[in-house]
Amino acid sequence: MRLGISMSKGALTAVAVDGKKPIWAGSYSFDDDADLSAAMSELSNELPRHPSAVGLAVESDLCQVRVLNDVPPVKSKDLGRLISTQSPRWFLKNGDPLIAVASRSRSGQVFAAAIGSKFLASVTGAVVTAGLGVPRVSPATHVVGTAVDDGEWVRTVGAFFETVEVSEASVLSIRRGPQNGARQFVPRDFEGFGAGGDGEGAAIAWAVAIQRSDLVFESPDDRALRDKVHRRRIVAAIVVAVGLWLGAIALYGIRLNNVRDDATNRLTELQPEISEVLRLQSDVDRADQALDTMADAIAARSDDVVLLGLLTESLSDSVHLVSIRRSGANVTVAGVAPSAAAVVALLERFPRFELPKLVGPVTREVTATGVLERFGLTFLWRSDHD
Amino acid sequence: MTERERKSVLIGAVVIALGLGVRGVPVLTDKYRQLRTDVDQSQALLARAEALVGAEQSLRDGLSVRASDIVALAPLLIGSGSRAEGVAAIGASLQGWAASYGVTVARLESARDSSASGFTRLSVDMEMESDLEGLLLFIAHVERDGRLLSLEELSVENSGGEGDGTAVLRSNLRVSGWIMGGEGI
Repeated sequence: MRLGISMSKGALTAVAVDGKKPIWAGSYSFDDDADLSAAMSELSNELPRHPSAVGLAVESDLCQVRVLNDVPPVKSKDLGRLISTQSPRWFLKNGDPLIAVASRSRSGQVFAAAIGSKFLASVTGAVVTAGLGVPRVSPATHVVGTAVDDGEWVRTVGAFFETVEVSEASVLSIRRGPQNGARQFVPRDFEGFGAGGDGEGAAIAWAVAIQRSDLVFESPDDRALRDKVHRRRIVAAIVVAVGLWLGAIALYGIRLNNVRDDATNRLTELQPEISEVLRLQSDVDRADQALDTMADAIAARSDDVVLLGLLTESLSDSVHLVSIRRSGANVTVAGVAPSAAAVVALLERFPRFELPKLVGPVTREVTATGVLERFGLTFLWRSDHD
Repeated sequence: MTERERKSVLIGAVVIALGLGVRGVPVLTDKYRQLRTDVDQSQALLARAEALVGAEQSLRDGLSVRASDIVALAPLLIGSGSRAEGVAAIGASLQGWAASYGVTVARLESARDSSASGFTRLSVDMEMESDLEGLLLFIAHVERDGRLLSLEELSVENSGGEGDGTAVLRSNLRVSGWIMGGEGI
C-alpha cells in the first residue's frame, strides 16, 4: 500500500492506494505545526495498514512555483543546485532559507519550485513522528503536470484558481486568477472515490501516491545523507558482488576438485579390472602377431620347383645353364647360348621373370658347333604368392 | 575514528586489496587452469578405462578365437619340442628324401635361427649332388610337405656333362621349418 498526501494551507487530504486502486481516503485540518503533527498522527492511526511509501504534494499556497525562461543551459543534475544557489533571484524571501528544485521541459522552459527549509523540516518531521516513514515531498503543481494529458488544466488552490499549461508531462506556464475556460483538473486514469474527501486534493494525493515525482524537496543535509547512503549501497553492492564472485569461484573449485577426486577414486576401483583387460589386450596383440608371422611364412614359402621348371620350359635347347642361384626373390643365372640377348628376350615372355637383364661381360667362344656366348643374367622371381 | 583516519584506513585497504589482486589473481588463475586440466585428463582417462573394462568380454572372445587359430597351425610346425629336436627332424626328413631320389648329401648342418612372435624358424644348410630329376623331386618334396618347410636359398651348379642329360648338379640349399616357442606367447 502506498500513501499520497496533498497538503495546502490548513488542510491535508490523504489517499491510500493498492496499485492504482484507492482503498482509503481522509481529510484533516490544522492551524500550526503542533496541529500538523496531531493531524498526521490521526491520519496514521486511521490508515488500514502501514504504507510502504509516502508521497507528499505541497500546494502552491505553501511553496513557490515558477516557470523560468532565462535559466542558463546547465545539465539537468545541476539545475536544482543552480536554482537553489540563486533562489533570491527568482523567489520571494521570508527569512526561511529556501530549498529549490527544478526541471527543464523539452521546449526549454524550467519549472522551479521553492519551499522554506524550516517548513520542510517541520512537515517531514510530522510525517516521520507519525510513524509513516520519510516522505518524498514534491510541489503539487509539478505532480499535476505529470498526471494529465497535454493542455490547460485549472484547479482551486486556496482562494484562487491555478491554471497550468502542460506539454509532454512538463509544466510550460502557470497562471493564477479567475477561472477561465481550462478543463477542470482530473488525473489520467483517475476514477474518483465516491463519498468523502476534498475532490481536487484527493486527486492530487492519488496522483502523488501512484507515481514517484522526480522533483523532491530535500534539505542539503538530507541530500548529503541520501548521497552517503547511495554511496554505501554502491560499496555494499560491490562488496556483495565481489563476495559472490569469490564464492562462485570457490564453489567451482570445490566442484572441480570433487570431480577429479571422484574420477581418481573410480580409477582406483577399476585398477584390477583394467590390469586384467590390459593383460588380455596384450595377449590378443601377441596372438595377432603370431598369426601374422605364420601367415607371412606361408605366403613366403618357396616354389623353386616351379622356378626351375619354368626356366627349363622358357629356354630353348641351345641354351645351356651352368649355375642358378636364388636368394629371396633375386635369381642369378649363368650359362652359354648362341645369343645372350635372345635368352633375355625369351625370359621376358614370362611375367614371373621380372626385369631380366645381363650382368657382367658376355664372352664369345668359338666351338665346333659354332659361336657361343657365355653370359650371366639376373631377374626377380615373382612368387605365386605375390 | 575521524574522517581522515577512516580515509587512511580505506585507502590502505584498497591498496592491500589491489596488491593481493595483482599477485593473487594470476596464481589463482594458474591453479584453476591446472585443476581444470587435471579434471579433463582424469575424466578422459576414466572414460578410456571404462571403455576398456566394457570391452573385456569381447577381448576374451577374440583371444579364444585366436587361440583356436594358433592351435590349427600345429600341423604346419616341425613340432613343439626343443630346437635340437626340430633341427634333427628336418635333417631326418631331408636325409630320407635324399635317399629316395638318389641324392648324395655332402654336408648337412644347422644354420642361424630366428624367433618372432612365439615361433622359431629353424634353418638347415645342405650341400648335395644329384641329377636334375633327383633335384626336382627332392625340392618338390620339401616344398609340398605338410609341414611348412621352405627353401630360403638355392644354388645349383652344373659340374659336368653339359647337354647330355647326365649332368651332375652340385646344389646348396638352406631349408627352414617352424617350431613353437621362442620370443612371445
